[in-house]
Amino acid sequence: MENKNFGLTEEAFKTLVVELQNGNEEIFQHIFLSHFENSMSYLKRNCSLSHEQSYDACMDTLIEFRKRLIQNKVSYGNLNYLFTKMASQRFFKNAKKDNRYQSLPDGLEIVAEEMVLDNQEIVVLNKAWNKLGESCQTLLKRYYYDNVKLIRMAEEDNKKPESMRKQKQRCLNTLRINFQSLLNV
Amino acid sequence: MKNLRKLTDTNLQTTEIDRHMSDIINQKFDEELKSTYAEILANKYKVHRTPRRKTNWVLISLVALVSLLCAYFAFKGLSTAVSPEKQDFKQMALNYDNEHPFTAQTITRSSVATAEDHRIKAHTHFENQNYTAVLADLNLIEDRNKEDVFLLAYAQFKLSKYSEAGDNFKKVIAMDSDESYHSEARLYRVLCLFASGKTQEAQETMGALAAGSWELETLKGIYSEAK
Repeated sequence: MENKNFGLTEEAFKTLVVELQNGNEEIFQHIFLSHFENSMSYLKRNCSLSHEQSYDACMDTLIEFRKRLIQNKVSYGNLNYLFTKMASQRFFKNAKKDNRYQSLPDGLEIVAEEMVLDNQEIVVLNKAWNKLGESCQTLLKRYYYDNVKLIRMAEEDNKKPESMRKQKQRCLNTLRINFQSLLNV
Repeated sequence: MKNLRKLTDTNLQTTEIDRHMSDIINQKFDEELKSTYAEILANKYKVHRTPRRKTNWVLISLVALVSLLCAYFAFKGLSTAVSPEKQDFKQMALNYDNEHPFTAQTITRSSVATAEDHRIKAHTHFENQNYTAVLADLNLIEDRNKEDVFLLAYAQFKLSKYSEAGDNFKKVIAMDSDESYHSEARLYRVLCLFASGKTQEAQETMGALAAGSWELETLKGIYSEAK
């Protein structure tokens, strides 16, 4: 069974998830990065992807897989198959999206629902982010990236949920003001 | 910067702000995680996004070998790429050498050859067992040394000129500057006598040889069956 689950027993898998949810990335990185090349080889062999295509697909899947593990959305069973299946789907989804953009007539623009920053915007985001206080950085990251509910954060900090909501709102406003100041320079 | 400007819009709904903030913060941390993973993959597992070419020593060796062969044939082609006329001259030169091999002897093409020239030629003919030529060259030397006389006598012996040979072997024996050729001369003088039918004189001469000498013992060995 372990050979279908990146060498993990069910017990080890549960430990990995708990550790990951507690912010300890070490086991996850060790297990999944050590199998990264094998997953790439599978995609190259079975989906005829190039080295770079399989690398990008595996990397995107690794990020997605990590999130799903944290969210308890992945069950022990056949993790290898799940990972490579996700990676191949990820590649074909991206390829389809690219083709759709390319096949659009001139003058038409797809209104993407997801906001995607370009490299310059990411630089500005990082500068604005670094101007935030540590508590705001932690709060926003946990809320938006780690998907931790405000109620849980409030419980952990012995605060009322409403005060946590207001704190989050203040942090957001500060970040937006930071954007404004950096964009007006 | 349209995305970030959009986020600074004061009229943006809270739900919109939340959604976009989620998008960009996820993008930020996803990118950071990817960088971290990429670094670990590269450093620890040697996995790179851009494939690194492994050193293929077999291929390198083959390429080197092919290059060397190409260089060799190119060089060979250059060195032999001569016109037909030059090729003919080369063949003529080689033909001449085949017909007239160099014999490591001093050659004087002047009309007046020295005694040394004849001596060297005679030695060459002697090595080639061309005894007539030996006689011809040695006869051209006026002041013959002991070696010349011995070779002359031996050539005459080989040419069945036993009387003349015997006389010359006797001359060698008489040239007493040193003992070189003396034993051989005494031996062959006896042989010449026997060969010319002068058996009695040969036996007397043989009897006069020093007891235990190489020439006497050799002659005894030759004629032991005749006794």
